[in-house]
Amino acid sequence: MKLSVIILIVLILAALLFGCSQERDNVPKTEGAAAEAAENVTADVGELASSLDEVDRLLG
Amino acid sequence: MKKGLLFVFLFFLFLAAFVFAYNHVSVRITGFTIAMPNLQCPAYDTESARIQCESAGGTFSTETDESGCQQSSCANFNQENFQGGANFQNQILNTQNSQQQTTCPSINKEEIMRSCKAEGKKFSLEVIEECEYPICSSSECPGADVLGGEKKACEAAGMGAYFVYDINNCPTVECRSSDDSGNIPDFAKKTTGKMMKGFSMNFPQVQCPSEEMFGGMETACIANGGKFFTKEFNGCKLPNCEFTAEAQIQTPFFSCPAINKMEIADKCKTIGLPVKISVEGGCEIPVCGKPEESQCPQISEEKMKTCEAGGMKIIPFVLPNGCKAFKCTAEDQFQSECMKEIPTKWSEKCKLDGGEIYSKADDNGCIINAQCTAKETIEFEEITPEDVSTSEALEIALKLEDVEIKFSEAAEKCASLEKYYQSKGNEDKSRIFNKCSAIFNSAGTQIGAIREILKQDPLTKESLTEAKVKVKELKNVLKQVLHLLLNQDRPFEEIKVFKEGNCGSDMSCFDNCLKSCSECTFTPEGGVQASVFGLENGKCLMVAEAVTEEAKQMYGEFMKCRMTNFAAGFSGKKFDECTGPMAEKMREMQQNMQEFRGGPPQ
Repeated sequence: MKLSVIILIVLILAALLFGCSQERDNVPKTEGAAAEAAENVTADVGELASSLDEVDRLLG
Repeated sequence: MKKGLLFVFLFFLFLAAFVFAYNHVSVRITGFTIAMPNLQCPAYDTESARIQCESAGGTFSTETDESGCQQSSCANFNQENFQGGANFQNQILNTQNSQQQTTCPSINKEEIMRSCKAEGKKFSLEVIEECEYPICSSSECPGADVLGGEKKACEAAGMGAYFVYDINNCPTVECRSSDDSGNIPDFAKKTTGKMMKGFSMNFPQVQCPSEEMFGGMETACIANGGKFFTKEFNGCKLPNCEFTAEAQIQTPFFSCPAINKMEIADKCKTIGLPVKISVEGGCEIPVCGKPEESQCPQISEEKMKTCEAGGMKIIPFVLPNGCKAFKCTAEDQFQSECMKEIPTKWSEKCKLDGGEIYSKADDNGCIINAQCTAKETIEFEEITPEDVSTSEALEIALKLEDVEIKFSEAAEKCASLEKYYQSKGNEDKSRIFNKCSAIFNSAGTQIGAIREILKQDPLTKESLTEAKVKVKELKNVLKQVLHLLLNQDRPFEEIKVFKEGNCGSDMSCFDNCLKSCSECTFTPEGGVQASVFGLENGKCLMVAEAVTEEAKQMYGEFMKCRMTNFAAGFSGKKFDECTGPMAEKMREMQQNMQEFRGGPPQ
């Protein structure tokens, strides 16, 4: 009994670790998803540039 | 039995944990959809067009195009008499404006045409808002549709459209604040601009400062040891006074002029020109700026806050000269009043500056973000602590915190894309996203540095200037990333980010090259050669070596730098990420350099 519980707990921890690493990685799986992600990054840069424009303006 | 139940329970717990961890992704709301606006046909003044065509000996006809709008055409017209016929089909007249009574200026077209032909130039008639204007030019001029579009862009942004003539005698549109807003300079009101032609139009003309007033400025400039010159801006000749100083070579990597900033600032003020801080290659140099009136209109923070507080929406605009402007409008008017096209003139200017336009439109076609990727000159007016209120400082701090998080998120996204393209064997794209990720990480570090500077209490003129320079430098770094991403389908080696290759002794070129960690070489005076080799494990690799015996003695043999915060360029570098005898010498020299005014930030 004890052994099976320990094995299961180890498995749960492994699953958690694996799942979390998958989430962090977030690597696109298809060419389409990659293209969309690249487009999102480009839009993010545009947004960041606007935010910096605003900081620049606020700085006088 | 109990053991079995416990086993089943733990098994399900295992499954649940896996599913949760795998699927636990953050959800982001990216926008909402609004119905597309109905397509409206442009209003044509058909009768006027018919008369115009027939008077030029042409055959006038109308037909309905694919979108159900009526189009006019004029065939077989006499080009000798009427070259403006080529623009005939583009005479789009705004419905709103056509409903108003427009007074056209009285112009002797015949006479202009005769003198134009006598000079061997091209004569044409342009129709702008129901009025005909004779154009005599030596090159192709923008058509009425282009000018009309630019005029509307100005007006939509709440600005006045001013027609001026460029060097080719072509009409061109400039956006300026209207007289009511008090942005037209006093000196301009007194005089008529010399660039204007001798006829008036039904909208205000641009008025340049009189050259008579330059005399006083020139005398004051020269008397203060400056060099006087005029510079063209927005179609006007504007006075400039430059105070130069002999460069003092301090180290091979820093050669900021040894100048007295206060003295120059005082001199600029004496001759009535604003003081500006210009930053190149990590050196801050004060210069006399252009008169305030010729700069981009100031965006009133107060007006923007009042707008939002009143439940209205702010529409961003880009004026044809590249200045950014905002208009406050009712929420339901946003769709009809927003900017839907990039001003042609701005786009051309951006291209000339070596950049390209990035624009992002919402679902309704309204442009919500537009950027030109060309590098911007870092030049701004002096800041004093009084310019930044406590609430503004707090707002800046919060915004920077948000920006820092976004930089880190963007770096992660780029890293994921790098992994994806690596797994697909696409080396070029993998390198592009590797660079993108490294630049974002480095830029994030810079944001942290700016936040630290702004945490100082009280804020000083120096700290605010340092923060402003860093923000402006980061804006240029972002433009590099944008350029990189917009060209991601090209081979990596072909994508030139600003300037790459051999920088010679141009410190500013090398500084820019380092900010994007692009491969380049730098050979400053003093027998030293430095090269940037690109990224190595997310760090930018730079190697410098002394190439002469004298340099070896003076600066040490070599140094190797692996820079994490390369986005900062050389400004603020303490060579703490460098190793080798030259790094030691540089650190020593930097310590000694602190006594010099005008040197790089401490």
